[in-house]
Amino acid sequence: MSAHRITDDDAAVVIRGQVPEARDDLAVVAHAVAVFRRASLEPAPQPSAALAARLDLERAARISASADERYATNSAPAPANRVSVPGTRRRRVALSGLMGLGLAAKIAIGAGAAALVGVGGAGAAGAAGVLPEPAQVVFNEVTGHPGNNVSDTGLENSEFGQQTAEDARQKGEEKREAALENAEEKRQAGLENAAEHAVNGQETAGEHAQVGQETAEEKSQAPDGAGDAADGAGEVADEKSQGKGPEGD
Amino acid sequence: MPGDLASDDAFEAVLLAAQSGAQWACTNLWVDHAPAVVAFLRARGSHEPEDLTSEVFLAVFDGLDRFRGDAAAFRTFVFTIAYRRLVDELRRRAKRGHHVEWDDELDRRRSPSAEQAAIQQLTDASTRALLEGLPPDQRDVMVLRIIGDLTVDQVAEVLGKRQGAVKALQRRALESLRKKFSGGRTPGAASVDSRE
Repeated sequence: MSAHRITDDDAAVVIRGQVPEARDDLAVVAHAVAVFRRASLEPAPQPSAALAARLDLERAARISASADERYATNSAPAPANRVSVPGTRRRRVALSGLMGLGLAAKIAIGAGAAALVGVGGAGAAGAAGVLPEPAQVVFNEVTGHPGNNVSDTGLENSEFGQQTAEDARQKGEEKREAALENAEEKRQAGLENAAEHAVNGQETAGEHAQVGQETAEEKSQAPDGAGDAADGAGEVADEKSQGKGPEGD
Repeated sequence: MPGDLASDDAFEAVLLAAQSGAQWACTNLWVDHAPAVVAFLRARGSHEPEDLTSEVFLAVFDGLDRFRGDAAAFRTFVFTIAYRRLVDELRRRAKRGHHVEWDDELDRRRSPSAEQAAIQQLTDASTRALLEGLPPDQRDVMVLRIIGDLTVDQVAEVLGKRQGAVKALQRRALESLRKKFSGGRTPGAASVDSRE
């Protein structure tokens, strides 16, 4: 048996850490592969500063932890000689990517991506618990949401729906806050503008009043001049009348 | 399989977003692939596997615009870059020797936590048990197949070899291991011979 050639099929099984049928001679090798595979599983390392600038580290920690937890939970009941396939873990994180999509991106990807992962509009809304009450009741009955017997995919879809609803709620909240801020800014700007106009008006009125007063004073001085002229004319007349006397004599 | 279709589609969405520069999507690709890449680099003898992994992913993100393909093709793309960077590091070290600056964290005279020490010992021991005594090209194939979780075709693409050549290397490696373990040495109890 130990002299048997290792076929491609045997090799494929051993590489997964499993013992091919009727190949006990490969049991120790399969065990070594399984130990090597398990021992090599480690979390994502700390990224360099340059790379960290292109990543969302908070998100990395969050999905890393959740993927590891779920991976550990799911792989726990596996048979002793079976090795968990890293692909399972990768799929979970990839799906969590969809949950992280922005609202615009989700809409852009649209029916194609979302429908294939089983998240129709009603599914998302139903999972989020935002359907009209009768529809929500039917949705809960049909899908079991939010009961305990939800499949992994159902759970992911439910999370996706909740995330979508939460994104929409947050967007709405952000827009409402932005509108309020905008209105407040405009109100403030209007008040400042009015105050400025009031000050300008006051200044202009003051200037006009000053000019008016000066003009009035100038004008009020004009009758004195006329009086002087009249006085002067009277004196000339007196002189003339006095002079006329001797002339007449 | 519907699940695979779903995950393939999810991958496309993540890739699309990463190509447009979305941080969350780059983060997902990092979380998905970095653990295997760092383990591959460590097992194949990189002295600074974490730093090299960061370099690999900077190159991956820079080259995302040119990438077309599914999740499997992307994994091949990532490991191709990782393998090239590793070869560069090994060549550089071979050419000018390797100088290590003292680092508090790396000083083996310091006592790591019991957990860290156990993990490191287990990893080192299992790596030695499996790879010790194998020629470098067989080690490449074994590590890419086991840790990289790549198919024979993907490994052939990463290494730039024919599929038949990769199958032959894999078979010879397994034959060597069978011979070694049937000779009385058990996995995990390897000697402390130098790794590459």
